[in-house]
Amino acid sequence: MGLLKLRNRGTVTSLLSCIRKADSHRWLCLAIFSTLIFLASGCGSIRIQRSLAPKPYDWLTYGGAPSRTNESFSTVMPPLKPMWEYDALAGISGTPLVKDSVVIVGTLRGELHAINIATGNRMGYAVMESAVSGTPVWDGGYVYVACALGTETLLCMSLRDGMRRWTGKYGPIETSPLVVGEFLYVVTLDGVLECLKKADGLEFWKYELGEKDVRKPVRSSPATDGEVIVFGSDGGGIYAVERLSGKLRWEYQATTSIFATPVLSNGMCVVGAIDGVLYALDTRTGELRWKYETGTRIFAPAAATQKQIFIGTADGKVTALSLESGKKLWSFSCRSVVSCAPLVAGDILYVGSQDRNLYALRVATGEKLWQYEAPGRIKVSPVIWGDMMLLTYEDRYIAALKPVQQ
Amino acid sequence: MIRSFLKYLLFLILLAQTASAQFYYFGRNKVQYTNFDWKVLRTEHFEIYYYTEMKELAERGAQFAEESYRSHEQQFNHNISRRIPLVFYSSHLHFEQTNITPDFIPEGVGGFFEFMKGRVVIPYDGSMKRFEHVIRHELVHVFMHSKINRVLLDHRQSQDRTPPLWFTEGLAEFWSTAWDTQAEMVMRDAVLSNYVVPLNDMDRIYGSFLMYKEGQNLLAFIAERYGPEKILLLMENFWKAASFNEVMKMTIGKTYKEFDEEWIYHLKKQYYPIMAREDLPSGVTKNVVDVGFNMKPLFYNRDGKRELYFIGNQTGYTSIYRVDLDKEKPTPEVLVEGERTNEFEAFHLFQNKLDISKNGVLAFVTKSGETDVLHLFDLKTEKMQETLRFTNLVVLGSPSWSPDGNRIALSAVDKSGMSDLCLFDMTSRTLSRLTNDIYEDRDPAWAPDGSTIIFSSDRTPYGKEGYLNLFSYNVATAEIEYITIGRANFLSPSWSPDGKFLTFTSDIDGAHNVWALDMSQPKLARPMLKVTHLTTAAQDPSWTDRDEMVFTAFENFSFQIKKIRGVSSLLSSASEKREFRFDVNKDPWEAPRLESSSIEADYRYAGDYKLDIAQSQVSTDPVFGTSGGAAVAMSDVLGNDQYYFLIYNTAQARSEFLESFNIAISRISLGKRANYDYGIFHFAGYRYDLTDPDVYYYERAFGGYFVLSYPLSQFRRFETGVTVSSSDKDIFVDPVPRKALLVSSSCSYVADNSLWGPTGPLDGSRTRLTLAYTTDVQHSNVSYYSIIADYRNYWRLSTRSSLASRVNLWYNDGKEARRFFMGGSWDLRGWPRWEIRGQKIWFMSHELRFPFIDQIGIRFPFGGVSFSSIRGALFTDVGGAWDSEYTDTKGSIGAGIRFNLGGIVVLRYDIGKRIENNMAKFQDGLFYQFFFGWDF
Repeated sequence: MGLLKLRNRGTVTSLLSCIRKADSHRWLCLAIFSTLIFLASGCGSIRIQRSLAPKPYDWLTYGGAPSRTNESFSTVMPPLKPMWEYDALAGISGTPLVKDSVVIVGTLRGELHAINIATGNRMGYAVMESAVSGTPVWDGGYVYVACALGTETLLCMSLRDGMRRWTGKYGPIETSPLVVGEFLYVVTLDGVLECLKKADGLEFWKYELGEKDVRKPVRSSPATDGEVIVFGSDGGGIYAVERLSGKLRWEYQATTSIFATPVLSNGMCVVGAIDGVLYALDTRTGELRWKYETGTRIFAPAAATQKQIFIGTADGKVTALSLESGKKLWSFSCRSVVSCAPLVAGDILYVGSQDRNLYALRVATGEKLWQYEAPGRIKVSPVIWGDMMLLTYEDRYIAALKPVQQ
Repeated sequence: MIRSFLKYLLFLILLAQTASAQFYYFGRNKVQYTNFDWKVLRTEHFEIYYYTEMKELAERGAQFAEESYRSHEQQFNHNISRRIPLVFYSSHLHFEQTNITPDFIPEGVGGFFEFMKGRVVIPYDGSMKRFEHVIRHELVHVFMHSKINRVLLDHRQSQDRTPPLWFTEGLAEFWSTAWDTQAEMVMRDAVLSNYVVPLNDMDRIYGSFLMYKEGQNLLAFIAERYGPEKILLLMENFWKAASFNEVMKMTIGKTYKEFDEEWIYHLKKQYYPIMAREDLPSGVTKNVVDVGFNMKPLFYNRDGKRELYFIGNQTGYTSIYRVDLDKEKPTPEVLVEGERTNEFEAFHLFQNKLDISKNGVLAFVTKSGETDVLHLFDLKTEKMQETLRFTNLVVLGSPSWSPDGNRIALSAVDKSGMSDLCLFDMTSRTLSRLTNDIYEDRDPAWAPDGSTIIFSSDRTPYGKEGYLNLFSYNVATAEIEYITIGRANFLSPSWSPDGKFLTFTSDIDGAHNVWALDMSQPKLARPMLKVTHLTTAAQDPSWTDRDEMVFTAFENFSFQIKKIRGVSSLLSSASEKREFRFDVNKDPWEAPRLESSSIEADYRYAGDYKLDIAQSQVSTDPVFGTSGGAAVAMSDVLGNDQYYFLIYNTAQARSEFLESFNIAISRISLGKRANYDYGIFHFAGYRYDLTDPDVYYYERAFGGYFVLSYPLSQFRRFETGVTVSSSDKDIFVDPVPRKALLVSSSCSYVADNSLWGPTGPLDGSRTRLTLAYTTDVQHSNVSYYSIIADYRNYWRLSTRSSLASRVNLWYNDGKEARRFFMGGSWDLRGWPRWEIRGQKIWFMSHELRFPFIDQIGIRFPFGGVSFSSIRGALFTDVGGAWDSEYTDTKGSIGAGIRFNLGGIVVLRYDIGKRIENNMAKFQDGLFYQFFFGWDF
């Protein structure tokens, strides 16, 4: 553990200081430390050898579910107070995943960290080929991770022994993979939707957004209602591909790029474009049901219930709309950009903003119930697991918050 | 030890030099003429530094800053996690006094972002729109700097790299202002004159205005062709590759080279069709003068001689020139030489027009000391008639004589920053204010009948977008009336001699051209007639007495004066006309002001010190062993007070620890006109005496010093200093240690108005005269006086060549007088470096400096390198050194080449012959010397 601390804090000076202190055995110490550093740098891994019990409120994929609704199965009542803080030593742009007290999170340095949710201590880490820009997906005893650069950019890692079950060469991936049944779906930056068998990583089908030279990059993660896989592209196209056949069911052309991930709820697909227009399409047909112009930019996905949609925008506003009609229900202003999806937790909507604050709003009215000032900007959606909230901020820290009364 | 000491000393000296130009050996002075009463306005995202007189301006600037912040945080998807220090000045002249940067600020600099402490410094120049633009521009830099650092930090990459300058400045322009006619002028000219610099070769125009505008243009092209989000992605992908070329490839799918093809083709498609209806200036007119930038032409018939007066910079110094307009290739004659003396410090080349009264008195404006002044120069006697300085007016502009020659109208900016029209009555010697509001009023032009003054102003509904229209000011009733109205600029009004036509420039067609109004027609029935049809720009029209007009045109990235004949026939046959609709809303715009509820605090500035740099170092020398130390520099937000701490130890054993301790603390104060520097020091250790390399000794010296520098002007200063130092010297070859309490005092006069080329001065002169006395007040072991006289003069032979001469005398005399040394590439060339030593040294050098090779380029399969401005020199040096008896004169002659490497260092290679044996014999063979250093 000490070794890992040394390596991960990057404190070369501490190491040198240890060597200096051990003056009489300097060379022996140096040899030992060198060996340990060598081992640590190449052999970091995550091994969770106990069996993990599933809970209904486990957070195993980006958006909490394949439909990416950002709706939690459990809730925490504010006020909350921080219990621990974990420093991942590099930026985090995906949400943490949680199952049976184990938190898994990817970093932009290209590492996967496993953290004990009860204590905030690291349980292990694994080194990827490059930055993990999206959120991995956790399925059974395996985690599927996509990387932003490199050759083997997609991999399946066993959490039991830390070994890589398979790897795939799919080019840069900046989206979050999706698992449905026996299949893994991933959209590459290069504009290809891959359907792979999750067991061995072999391609089942793939859908390409046109010829290689003309297709637009994709930064919008795929979402599914079970029938179609939906995602947006830099070219402004919103695509629905049949999940089992890989055939395009419909395509809708927005006016500008789509960076955000679609949210599928109640037969609707809701996704925001970079020019601030929120589109609501019929998931089955792709027909435009309504659109809502926010007047600013949309970087983040929405959160959805069966009746409402909640969208955070670059002007710091969070707006609640009727899912059915697109009618504005209420709006709340943060003091800076909202660049992550809100989180619906029962009657409470949690919203993180780059103004460093986490806001708890009443879902029905937008009334502010509580706010917590984090030490840094919040650019990643919070996650609730049981009675704990995991809050990621600036951009390498994860804090666990718990209701005060407990 | 000595090496590490020298390293630290060099470091400290470098810091001190960058901190204060006043403490250079030579160099001009950044004079603190004005005592600013600084205050701080704290808003949600800013700490705004302003002085009392400009409070209203600061509140408007605060509003612009907050609006820009809200816009930028959305564009960048990022915010700034601290309050941004924003320092405002109400005029460029005040801005030039800032100590936040040690550099001199040229007139063209509209503001800057200093990234070490994240400070933004912006002057107001009379225009609210430009103020808003500069605030937005500099805040783009703040956001980009923070965003890029965040991206690199998130990916655990070193934050020591930044995007290329074309991107940072191009984006700052792209996200702060619309594509305006100035930008259009530059790009049209670059395309149509065929000098567009491709992205792949952008280093060639590094830091130039062309680079800014090309950067803005190509980012606009990326946004249009590939989508606006790609601009943000270029920053978010910055971590992905070390080269920005690769980042481009990963973001838009094109390398620089591939992108260049697409972008330049697009530019040609856009601009070539313009040639079907407009002309390049050189296609339809001829230059009156060819060399340098030449602007603000003014015709005057002086006793039958038809002359043209203008402001130009063909020698490098901006001056007023005169040419005979009837000569085919006239040679410009310098009438008033600028930028060499305090009297004519700066001419504001791009801003101020000239005017001549009916009595032949030339009125012009220069910066002189703290403010601008109005000079009246009698063209008949060719003598300065008088110089007028107006209390409370900081910046003056474009004087215009009344037809009777008794009054002068001019634009002026006071300490509050407001730009208004003023009138000076030559008879009563009084100055009155014609306008008094936030609107920019400029370019007054008195009508020939004396009843009205036409001027340009943004007091229209379109002023908020930065457009200036023409107005008339009725001198009798003080009424202001619209002359033009529209969403375009109308500038530089000028009357025809008969008072029938009012000419001016307007960009109503996309480029500035000369237009005219027939003022003999009723206001509602006088269309605007187009006189010139140039692709780029025509500016500053002025009539002659023969149906001609002179004006400035922009072409080949240069401003030149042009002449056109037959103006009346051009006007009578003008095919392009515009009519104004005066029935639209004419209410002027309101500049927003930060609401008082948004002001969190407003208090007097009391100094806010932050670290500038902290550096530690351990060094090992095979002779002197290991030493370690640290240097720390800190200063206040305004850069007026600077503290330097140096500490290091050279002990090799525990017992030596105390006697090897070195520490120096100094404070430099630059806030007032008299700058001072004082400090204490303790230096101890083993040393070589550079002047006597055989002597190796231990010295412990401690004491304090005080230096005062008082600038008489930008070009001259007086310095004085005193050092008290206890020095115990243990010279190993000498059995008796030398103890002394040294008091050294000196005073100096320094003058420098030199103009520099790529490798050194080309024009002007430099002088330093120092008298000093050093004595041991305790033991009388040391007592000597010093004289240092150093004079350098540079005779300009042509635009790029000159003859440089210098004469030096370094003279120490008395008990234990220190020895000077010379020899080497910096003084007596051909002789070994520092070999010639003596308590007295004289030295003389002459050098012919000329351009040798303008550019050498080597193209490799993987890329190319080029070296430009390689200069040649022919030189002769002569000098001698002695202690008590003069014995030998040494000399050298030779030739060399020099070139500037990245603006940081000049490399020099000389070949020549020493003149030996008391100047009796040339050296056998040749000497070859390669070294670095600027020309003397």
